[in-house]
Amino acid sequence: MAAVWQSFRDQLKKAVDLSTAAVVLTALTALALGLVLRAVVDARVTVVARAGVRAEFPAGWLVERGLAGEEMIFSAVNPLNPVARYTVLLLPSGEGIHFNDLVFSRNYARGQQLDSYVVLDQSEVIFEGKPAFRVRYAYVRTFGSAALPEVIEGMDYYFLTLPRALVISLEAPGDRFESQLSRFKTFVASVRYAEGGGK
Amino acid sequence: MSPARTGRLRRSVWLPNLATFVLLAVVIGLAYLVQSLFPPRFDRDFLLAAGLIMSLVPAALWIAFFYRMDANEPEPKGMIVRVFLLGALLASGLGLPLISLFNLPDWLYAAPWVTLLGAVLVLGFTQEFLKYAAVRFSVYRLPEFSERTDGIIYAVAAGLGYATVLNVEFMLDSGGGNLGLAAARIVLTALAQASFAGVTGYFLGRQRFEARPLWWMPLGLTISALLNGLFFYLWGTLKRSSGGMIGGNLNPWIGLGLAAALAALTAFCLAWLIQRDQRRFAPEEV
Repeated sequence: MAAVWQSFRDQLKKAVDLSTAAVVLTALTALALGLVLRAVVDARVTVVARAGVRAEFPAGWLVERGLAGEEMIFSAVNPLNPVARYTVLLLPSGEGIHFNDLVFSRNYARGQQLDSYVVLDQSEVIFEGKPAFRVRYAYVRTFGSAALPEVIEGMDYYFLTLPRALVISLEAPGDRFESQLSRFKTFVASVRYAEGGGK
Repeated sequence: MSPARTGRLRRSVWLPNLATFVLLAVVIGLAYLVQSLFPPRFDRDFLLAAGLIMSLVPAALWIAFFYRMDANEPEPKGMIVRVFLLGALLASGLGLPLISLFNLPDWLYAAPWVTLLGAVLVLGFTQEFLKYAAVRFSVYRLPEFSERTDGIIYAVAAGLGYATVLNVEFMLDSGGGNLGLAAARIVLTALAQASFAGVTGYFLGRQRFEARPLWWMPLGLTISALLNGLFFYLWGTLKRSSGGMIGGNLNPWIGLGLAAALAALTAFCLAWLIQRDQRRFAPEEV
């Protein structure tokens, strides 16, 4: 057995430079550890609760809480890489309110405030077994003469909860938006509105 | 080597090297001048042209800086250019796509220790391995690779090729709003990528001409990846205010200065290693 192993090693040495193989193995090991590190970071969350809303934000994110009476409950960004912004709102709602009522007034307000605001897509969806309304939109953010204007894309999820409706939003630069979606959906799934139940 | 030749070698290197630093300062100064005299331009063709010029000039100056030290048996310039191009090709064809798969911006800044560790594991090892590969699978077994110092020279060329791609990409992404700061960043990126590759090159050079243990090259790669990751960390993270919040007392020059010090220290060590080998293995004068 030892002779076979020795022969195998000799053949391997001839075929492959062991030093090069060791370098390749080292680099691959480092990248695998990088993937493990990413998984560990993605799993870390900070639980924040206010006004009956409980949400799990990615650990390390800076969470701003709205004032009493404000529609905005939370707004959060990663302070070290402020690309994406998550916002959680509670809008007035009631038994007779439909998605369209909420969506129309919010789209209208944004159209008044933002440059080149456009709704890219909106439809009723089922999110994790619950009825929701999804709006995808874009607008232009300008920086004066310092840099090119930037296209910001956003996505809202509306949930008809009671006594107030829950709206969870993502905004990110257009070229980075798609890469943010997966994590945002995990965040949306983590949001719970206890007062009155529903989601 | 005779003391007289050593003295001549030192004198012959110092003046051109001083000129290199002056020219690099001129490049940065010119960029600031252009920025102050002309309105910013954002079109992609202009940014690509400006990015190429602003990336290639510092790369050429840095390569000349290291090349001049290889006084005993200078490498063929054509081979240096080929390794440079191979480094650039590996950066754009493999390095950038591979690193983008890791989606670093989404998780790398979760905490300072994550930034440092992630930068070493993903950025450091990927970039340094590809620069290693550019030398190992091209010139390493050729007769042109004829002395220990050649490992550093060729690795520096591969590193500068890699840096050129990073710098052009940075110019295109930056939007062209601040040419002066971009020029400073480009000069520093080129030095850092070249120096860290040079560390791997030092290990490669000794591996080629000496019997070294199996862990030798992995150790070289790991050291250069550590330096690369630390450079990224210092540059990106320490510029924050002590509170760690954005919008506070941001001072990009602190991180830039620390990162520059690390790159310059590495370059200084490499220059010392090259000169030591040049003296040790110099051909005898007749």
